Amino acid sequence: MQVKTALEVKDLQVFYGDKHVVFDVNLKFPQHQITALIGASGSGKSTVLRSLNRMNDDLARVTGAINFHDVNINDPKVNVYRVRQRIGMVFQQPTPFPMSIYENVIYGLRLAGEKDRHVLDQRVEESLRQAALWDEVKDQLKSSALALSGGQQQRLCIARTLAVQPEIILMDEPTSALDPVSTSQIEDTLVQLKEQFTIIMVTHNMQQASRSADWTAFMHQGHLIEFDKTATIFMNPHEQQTADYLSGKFG
Amino acid sequence: MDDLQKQLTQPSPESHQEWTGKIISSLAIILIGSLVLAILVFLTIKGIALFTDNGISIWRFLSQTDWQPSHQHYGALPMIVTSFSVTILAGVVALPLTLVVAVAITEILPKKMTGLFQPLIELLVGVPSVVYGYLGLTIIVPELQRLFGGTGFGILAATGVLFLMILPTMTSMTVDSLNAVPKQYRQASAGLGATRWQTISRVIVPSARDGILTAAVFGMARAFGEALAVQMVIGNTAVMPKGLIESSATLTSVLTTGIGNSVMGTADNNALWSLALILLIMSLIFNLLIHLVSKKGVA
Repeated sequence: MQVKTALEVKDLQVFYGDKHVVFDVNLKFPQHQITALIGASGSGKSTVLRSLNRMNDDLARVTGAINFHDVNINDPKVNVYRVRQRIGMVFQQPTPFPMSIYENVIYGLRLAGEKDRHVLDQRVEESLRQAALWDEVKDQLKSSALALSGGQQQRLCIARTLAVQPEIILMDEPTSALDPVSTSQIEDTLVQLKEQFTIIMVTHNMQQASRSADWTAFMHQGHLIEFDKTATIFMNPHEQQTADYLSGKFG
Repeated sequence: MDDLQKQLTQPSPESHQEWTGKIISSLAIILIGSLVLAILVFLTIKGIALFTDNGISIWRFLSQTDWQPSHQHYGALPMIVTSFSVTILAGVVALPLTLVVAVAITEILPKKMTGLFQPLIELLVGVPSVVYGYLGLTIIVPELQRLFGGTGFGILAATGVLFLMILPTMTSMTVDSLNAVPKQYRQASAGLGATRWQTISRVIVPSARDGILTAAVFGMARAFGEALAVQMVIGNTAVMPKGLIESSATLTSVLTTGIGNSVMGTADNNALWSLALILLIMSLIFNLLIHLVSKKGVA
């Protein structure tokens, strides 16, 4: 099966000060698929993820190309605010803002200047439905988002990202702060979302990668070791390091 | 009873320590509590003596505008109006500037500059008020005199001095409340395509709203109660203020100038105590406001 590429990373290098942390990563993220980045702590997987929508701008020096619709979005001249509207990000800790559920969802739209009530109302319902939260919160849209449970908060953050209608959603360990029930709800949500979005996520949880990801990239000490279909990575990896990591010999 | 049972049920050095600690802290609380109570009771008794012993009506005291103790005229309204004017003006001028400085320190300036600014501001918090008063006397009053004519003394000069005095306190508190906004909010906001300015104005400042309001009320409480610095620049004429650069007097400045010139137990002296009672009631109200604002929590 030939799949389109949503985002292409070429010769990506990342430096924190003098410290070289990501070496020569080349990756093509397939469209409308879930790609998992796995690897031990410090393998550079989160750093790579954060580079994809320029969240590393203030922290690190990133070289190489990140091609999105034939534009190298790693170019300093690129408008990072527009990039982040097209390539959204969901973080490890659920971070609803201290405002109502409704205001949280439309935060990104408000930034983009959307004022039409109808559009806002409609987008709130659509995004909350996509994030599988609508039924739980539809009667309390005006109440504080901080009153929601951890799992609901994270789905709200997903809805908030979806409301801007990005093409790609980056997720940095989106379930590691959640309980197993919330985790499986979010995993179910992700599988539905890939119909419309391309998802790239970092995870520490092997089962999560094998359950929900179509593709898996394994990173070790800043190097991309192997990138393939998830089934291939887990059932018969080509690299010894991948096999060792998955069987728990290190990491 | 065997040894282990004894050990488990009988007092030990640890439990004695706990008891001693509890007793000492209870005594300390009783001491402080009774001190506060004593001040309240004493001030109230002295403060209402003017109305009970000297036969002045509370209403006249609060609404009359002539303050001439030598002629038995005890109208406190001019001082009340002046006190509120300098307090509110200083607060209104200081709040926006506080916000700008605090946001610059927490969100915009590089770490190195923050490390320089924050100790500086905390140092300014500790500068004695007489120094601010002296600055006002030597710089602000002459400048106002040059710009607007007249003596330069008055509400505007006092506002200037109080503004300088409460700015560091308010900034320091605002910086703390901005720093208490979770770091992740900034990331989450940026991840949705927000510029730094959008993140500051739409997420960070609203999240810290209660802390910022607390800082404002705290600053104004300090301005309301300040005596020395105000007395140095206000002019000390106990009349209804006719303008911002006309000599006038606040509750505190009348107290500090008058208390040495009156004899305990006379009506003059009792009138001053009544002014002090107003100050006390106002500072209780400010305290209550701070509690109300900071207890409300976010959203």
